[in-house]
Amino acid sequence: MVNKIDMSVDLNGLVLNNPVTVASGTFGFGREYGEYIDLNKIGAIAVKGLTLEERQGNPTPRVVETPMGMLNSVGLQNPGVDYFIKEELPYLSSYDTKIIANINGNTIYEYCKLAEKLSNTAVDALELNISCPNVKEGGVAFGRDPDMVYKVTKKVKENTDKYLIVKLSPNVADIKEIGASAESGGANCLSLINTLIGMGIDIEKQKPILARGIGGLSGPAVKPVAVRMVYEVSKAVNIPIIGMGGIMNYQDAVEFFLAGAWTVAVGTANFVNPMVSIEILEGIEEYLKRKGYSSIKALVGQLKF
Amino acid sequence: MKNRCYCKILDNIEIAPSIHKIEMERVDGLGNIKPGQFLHIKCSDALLLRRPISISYAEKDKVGIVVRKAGEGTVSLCNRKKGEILDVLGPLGNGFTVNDGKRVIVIGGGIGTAPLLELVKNLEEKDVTVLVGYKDMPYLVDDFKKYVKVVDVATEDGSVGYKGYVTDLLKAKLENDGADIIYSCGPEVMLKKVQKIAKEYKVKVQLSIEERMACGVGACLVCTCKVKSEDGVKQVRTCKDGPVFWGDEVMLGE
Repeated sequence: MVNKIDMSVDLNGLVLNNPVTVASGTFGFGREYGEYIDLNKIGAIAVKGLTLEERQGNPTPRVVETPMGMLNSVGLQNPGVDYFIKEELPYLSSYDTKIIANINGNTIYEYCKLAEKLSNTAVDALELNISCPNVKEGGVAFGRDPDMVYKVTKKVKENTDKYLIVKLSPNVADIKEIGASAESGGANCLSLINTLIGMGIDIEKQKPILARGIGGLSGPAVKPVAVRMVYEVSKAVNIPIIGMGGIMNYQDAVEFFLAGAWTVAVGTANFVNPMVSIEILEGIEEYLKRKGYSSIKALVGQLKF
Repeated sequence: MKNRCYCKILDNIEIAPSIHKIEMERVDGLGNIKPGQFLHIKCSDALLLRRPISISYAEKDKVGIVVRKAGEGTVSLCNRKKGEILDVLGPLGNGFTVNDGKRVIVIGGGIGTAPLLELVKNLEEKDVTVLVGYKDMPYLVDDFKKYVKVVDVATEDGSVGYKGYVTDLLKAKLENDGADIIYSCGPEVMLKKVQKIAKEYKVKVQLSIEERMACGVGACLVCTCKVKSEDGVKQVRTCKDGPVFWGDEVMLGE
């Protein structure tokens, strides 16, 4: 029986107090959930996706309930990177948790500019979002093309000293290839998956429910796809993976670790239960104790066939 | 720290076709409740997201909501039985500002009359007129009458009270007696009309609006709406910055 479990994770240079983080777009800039949980207790916070300029996002309705999931089409509404640095970062920096700035550009130039602006700030890592399905330009269009993924990763890496995470889209034919491209471009880490593209239709009005028609599917419904992709990519690359997609409880998180994730991110579940990330962390610790592991590291990739 | 609450259902009755009044235990976690705030309720295990439901009234040991069966979530909620436990977040959002003005008009439409009950309870010592409108069968009218003498009812089919829209009653009331402030909740088309009439008669107005939500706490940006600000138009969150807004600021359906 082990008493003290080492929950820290060294993602080859980015050290987290523990392996439970929250996914971009599901946690704002931390303030709202700070009313429900001690933000010091989560490993990292990936902030709401940032763009160079303030962005209004898509018209409402922006959300649809689906069987064990949700479709969203927020469209990267955010106050812009400068506002984030000035008004939101100081608040987040007061906590003992790593800060991941999720960045979104329409062009490689914009991604580089965002990386530059964030380079001399208290942000701990950048997460290159090349997989947002809810914007017309950039977004998933970048994430689908292995050459483009390589190029944008390499260029951004040249423009920053920050630890670089590349977030992969599941809306591709071969995610292993995309992961490998990001790795060769210089990514320090990969995060996956972003949302799956979906649609919901109001049969009475015979119109799409989301104002923009299509949106990104998340929640428990996408978990098997995410676990499979984490498993596949972990075999294809030598850099760490942050696994996410429908994690609702510690059992879901453990699946991701077994599949090869070094760290997990809780997303949609935050909307249902603001305290869920802490509950998941506690559940993982109990599981490790029960199974006789002395650290979370020891669980990564332990899937048996 | 705020927390999730587990509230036992004390009563669930159908007060009009497809309209349920659900009373639940007021557990300590629910804390202070301001009129116009809402609860974010997990309606069933088969649905992922919570649903925002306005608080209709709060008493020392119980909280009441009035729900219209509209979609899967509200149908599930209305089917919950007495004795079952509800998983609740709240109270959430900003409610009505109650200290403005002496002569008050409270105007509600349909299920939008529900949150106005707690408001009216908090308007003691003021000169209050309640105007409520329904398609056909009215509900909650007797509840309003417990707190205020003048409750005028309008129905679209004329089955009870004035035949027509409740906004016609508002116009007549302002024309005859005027008012210092108007509070309103109801369908968007009605709120737009109330907003317009209030502007015409130069009376302050607070509107409680509705938008689809996911998190309910201000993080997901799903329920964005627009308000006028000094430097143009600002996007705010219906859940955290609302659901009650000043009528001269909020831009409805834009």
